[in-house]
Amino acid sequence: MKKLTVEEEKLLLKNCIENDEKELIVRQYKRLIDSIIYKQFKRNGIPCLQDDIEDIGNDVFVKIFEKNCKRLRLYKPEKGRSLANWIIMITSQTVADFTHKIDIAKREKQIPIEELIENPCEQAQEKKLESRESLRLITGYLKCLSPDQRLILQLYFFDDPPKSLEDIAKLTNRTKQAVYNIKHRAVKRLKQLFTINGY
Amino acid sequence: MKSKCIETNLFAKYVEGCFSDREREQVEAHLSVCSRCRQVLVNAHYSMDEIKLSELEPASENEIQAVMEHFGFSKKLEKIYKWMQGSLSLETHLFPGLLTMPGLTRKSSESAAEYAYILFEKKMGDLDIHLYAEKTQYHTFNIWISVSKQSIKAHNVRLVLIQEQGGIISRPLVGQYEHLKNMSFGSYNFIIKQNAEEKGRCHINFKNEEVIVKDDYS
Repeated sequence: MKKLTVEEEKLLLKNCIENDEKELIVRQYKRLIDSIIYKQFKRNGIPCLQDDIEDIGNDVFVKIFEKNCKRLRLYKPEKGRSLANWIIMITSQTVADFTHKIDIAKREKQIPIEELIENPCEQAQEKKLESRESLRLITGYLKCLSPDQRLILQLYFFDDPPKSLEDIAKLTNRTKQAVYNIKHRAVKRLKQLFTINGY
Repeated sequence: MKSKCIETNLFAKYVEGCFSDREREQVEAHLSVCSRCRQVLVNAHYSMDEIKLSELEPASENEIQAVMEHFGFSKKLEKIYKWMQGSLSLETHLFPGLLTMPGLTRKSSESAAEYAYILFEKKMGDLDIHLYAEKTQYHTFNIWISVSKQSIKAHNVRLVLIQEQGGIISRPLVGQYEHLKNMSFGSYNFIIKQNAEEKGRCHINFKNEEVIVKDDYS
């Protein structure tokens, strides 16, 4: 299946909204949605059942088509954007809502052990975990930082798995150097606050 | 207090890198306090990088039917297309070279209001059928039909049109388009074959006000 051009996407949207041809959207994007759901479960180390793909996939289409295709009508293709990416966004949000409710330990008992994938633990990550423990003592001071500083510290130290500077640069549309500078200033500021308050 | 989670359009703009400074600040302020949205950011970003659309097949008819039935949307068996006036615009992207087809009465800048046209696409198996029809001044119409697979002209294709009042047209599709001239209004059974095997059929009723396409006929 080839990627649609901007004009083809506009025509697809027009036919779906104005001529009620919802099956065009289903035909074009169902496999994409299913693939994303599966990969995101795998990436987060959560066992994926066939029912999950079906349930979440249907939830995605509910969001796209509900209220007379309200979300589709609000979608505005601008330069550099694509409908496929917008659908990836909705799918990712739906997966996040779903996985937040899953009891992973209970689910793992349902899956044969040979199908479970263990996440490797690298030495670099172990070192970050040590730093993370120290920083936990001063997490209360995070609100004194700017939003970009807080975000980068969260991604680098606190989220599971922690992200590399390169990952964070890609995620936040910055250069690696810019991310490093923000992280460096943030940690320095936290340490100052830590010191001022007698720790 | 955590702000409401990021709205999809804004979040998509952030992930794609199409945002203003103000939008970046708004999104990052929320991301810094919401673990769920950070998870979404990471997953969406990697999905956009990893997914190769060219490797994914379109959903099968059974899969589409299952989704549509889940919502209680029956797959429409009948579609109605109104004859349109004016110059061809968005639709020409479906038909590369549409405006240069021989015999076409409409050009994009002419007094195109005179001759009404209709253009639609239809899937039959793995083939994409594009049909463009134009009324003539003699109360007839001309049709141009193109058959392709993944944007490439399909080979060994035969078009069969059976008029309900009698008359059969059966032609191999040789060039980029098959051109049928001075067709009478009325009902036709429209069949596409490839390598002598039927790929699909439908019923098309060409009326003066509209064209009705039905997926199946008896």
